[in-house]
Amino acid sequence: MKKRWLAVLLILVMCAGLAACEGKKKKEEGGSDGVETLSLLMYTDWYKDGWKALENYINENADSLGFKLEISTIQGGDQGDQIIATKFASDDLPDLIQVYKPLWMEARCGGNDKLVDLSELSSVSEYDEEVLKATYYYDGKLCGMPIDTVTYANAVFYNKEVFEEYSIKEPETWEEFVDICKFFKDETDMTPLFYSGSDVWTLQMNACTSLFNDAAEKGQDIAGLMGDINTNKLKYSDNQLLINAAERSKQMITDGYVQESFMSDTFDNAQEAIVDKTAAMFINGTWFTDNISAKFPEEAENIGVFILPAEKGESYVDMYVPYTLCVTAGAKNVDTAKKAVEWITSQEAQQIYADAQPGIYLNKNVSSELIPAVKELKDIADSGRVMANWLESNLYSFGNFGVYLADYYTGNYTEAAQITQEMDDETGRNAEAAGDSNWK
Amino acid sequence: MYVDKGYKRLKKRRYPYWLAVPGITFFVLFFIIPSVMGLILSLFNMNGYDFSKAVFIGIENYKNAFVLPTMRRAIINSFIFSAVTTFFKVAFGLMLAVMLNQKLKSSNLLRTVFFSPAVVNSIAVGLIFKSLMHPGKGLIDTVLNSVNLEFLAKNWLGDPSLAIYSVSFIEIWKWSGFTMVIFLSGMQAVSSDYYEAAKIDGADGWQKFKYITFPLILPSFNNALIINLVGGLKVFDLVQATTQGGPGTATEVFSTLMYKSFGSGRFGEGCAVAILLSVIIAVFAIPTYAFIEKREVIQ
Repeated sequence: MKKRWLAVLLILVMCAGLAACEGKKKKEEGGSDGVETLSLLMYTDWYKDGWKALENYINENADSLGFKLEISTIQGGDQGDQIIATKFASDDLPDLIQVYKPLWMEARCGGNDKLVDLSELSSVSEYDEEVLKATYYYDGKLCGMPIDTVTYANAVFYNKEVFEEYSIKEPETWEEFVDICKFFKDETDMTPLFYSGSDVWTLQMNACTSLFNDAAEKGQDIAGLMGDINTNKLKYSDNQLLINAAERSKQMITDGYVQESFMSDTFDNAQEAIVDKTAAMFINGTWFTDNISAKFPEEAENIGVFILPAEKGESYVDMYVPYTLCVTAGAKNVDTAKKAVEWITSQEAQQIYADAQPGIYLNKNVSSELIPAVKELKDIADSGRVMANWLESNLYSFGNFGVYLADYYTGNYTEAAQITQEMDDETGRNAEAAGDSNWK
Repeated sequence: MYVDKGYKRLKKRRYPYWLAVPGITFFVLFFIIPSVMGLILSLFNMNGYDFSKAVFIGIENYKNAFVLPTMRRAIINSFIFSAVTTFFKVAFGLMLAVMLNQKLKSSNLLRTVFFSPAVVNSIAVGLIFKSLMHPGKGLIDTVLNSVNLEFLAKNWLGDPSLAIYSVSFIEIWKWSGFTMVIFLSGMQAVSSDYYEAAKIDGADGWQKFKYITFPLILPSFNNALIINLVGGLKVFDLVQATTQGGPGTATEVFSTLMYKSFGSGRFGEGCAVAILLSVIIAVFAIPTYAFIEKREVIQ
């Protein structure tokens, strides 16, 4: 009998405890003090110095702002993408979410109808309308606002001290670039060109921007060319300059300009190799300099950069627009969430972000001190030699360009044309699975 | 009086069924229903999570699965991985079990040492070996180079012709100790009377193993073989942690292929690959199990 009473007592204590916890949670969420806690979800890699500074500021000034943030992060890559897709499918949505472009959201998650239109926010006027329309609008709705920095790729990074030591000038043509590689191979112990195939995404930088030249040759911009691919009017295989670029990037391995262990080396190894001068050059994007600044701050000024010369025609800077900050339809209080995004994307908040994480911001009123390599790329882009990256502009996934290149480099594909053929096949499979009539 | 007896007997008979109800409920909820759902989904064309747009396409997904460019490679790799790892895990496990079934002072310590890799997380093991196997900077090549065995130093995970065997090596290292435990449990159930009789007859160690130990541990051998065979065909975590199916697609296996189909949102195709994998496993595992089971000896 005593045991029975003890069990009843324990159950009561447990229920009281749970009720107390729930009460506390409700108070935190809501609100007798008028401060609402908003949940924000993003990939781990995106939670950098800018967000940390902004989060601190928001939480310290929650009373005046009327909200504070509870940021959750998930792993990036395919696994993270699947989590996002699952959350959208099951309506398990946070108040705010940081994702890729709305086109990506629609293609992978079919989720733009679960995002709130932000076109009425006052901070919208601080951004270039054309840029917002080109990227952040989908079906006439402003699905999200830009967050984080513009990044540039198709850049070859080098250690300035090395180039100075050997009196090497930045190359203008592909032939000059190969000559530099030959010089480093013949005259030094350095690896002329570093590939980091263990992080397979880095390999795509070796060739992908040649699609810009294909677009230019067809008298189009990259958006037009991708539009044709997305509607099955054009195949990836129809772009010969892209295929040639893959061949050239493999030729660098065949000619001994790339280190033997390139399929086992990582992006981290690449940074170390450039800093400690064991490698002369590395093809990547401005996130390479972000990493150098974070890990080897004293070396950031020493990093030089030039655009990877194209086989034919102009060589372009490859521009990645910032990520998208969205309010979801699942937000507890949509008005507060919109108010929060309005403030986060305003000049005041973006300046706090930029001070902690220098870079190029789309908010016209934000200024930021750029490291020389990034500034140089920005100057080239501002001169008009720029196209927006196409790797996220596809309506249907073509697979992983880096993996296809790795297959080609390691002999699984014998011809570079097999890469684009595989991209077409995978696109077709996904389009057919989606029931797209253009593929019937 | 008679009715009361009958009721009691019925109540007694029901008792074991009631005990089985929770287990059966979980089995139906989390195995039978998802399996049937998977089978149904494999007959539909659907991209993403929108079930309302699913279109019935019959066995089209199965046909597509066979023409996937990486399928042939995944099949070959899965069989290489399964055959190599099963052979060596069983061989090493048996050797270790015979060795540690002796009355040694350090038996318990050594059993723990050999079993310990099995309790380490596969992802951690994969990442550690990825670092150990780095060409040039990794511990394995560094040691080989330092003892003038440069010709043995290889690009273990970066060479497409070698990578699947390097991953197999990691699997063997990790699970041989576990296989050893299965054999040890079988060996400890063998009565010492048989060995005493064999000793009187003048049998040597090999003869004791051949005519007493091995026939009597056949049930354990059968279990170990099937567990490793099925585990080898289903491998995912270790490949994902070490190579993600690379370099390129050189170490692609069934499960990584399935993962990529699901990852691309092609759920029907992913389910079809999963069903195919189950069928292939059954085709190999069931006859193998039955073949050995017929030869088992009862003590």
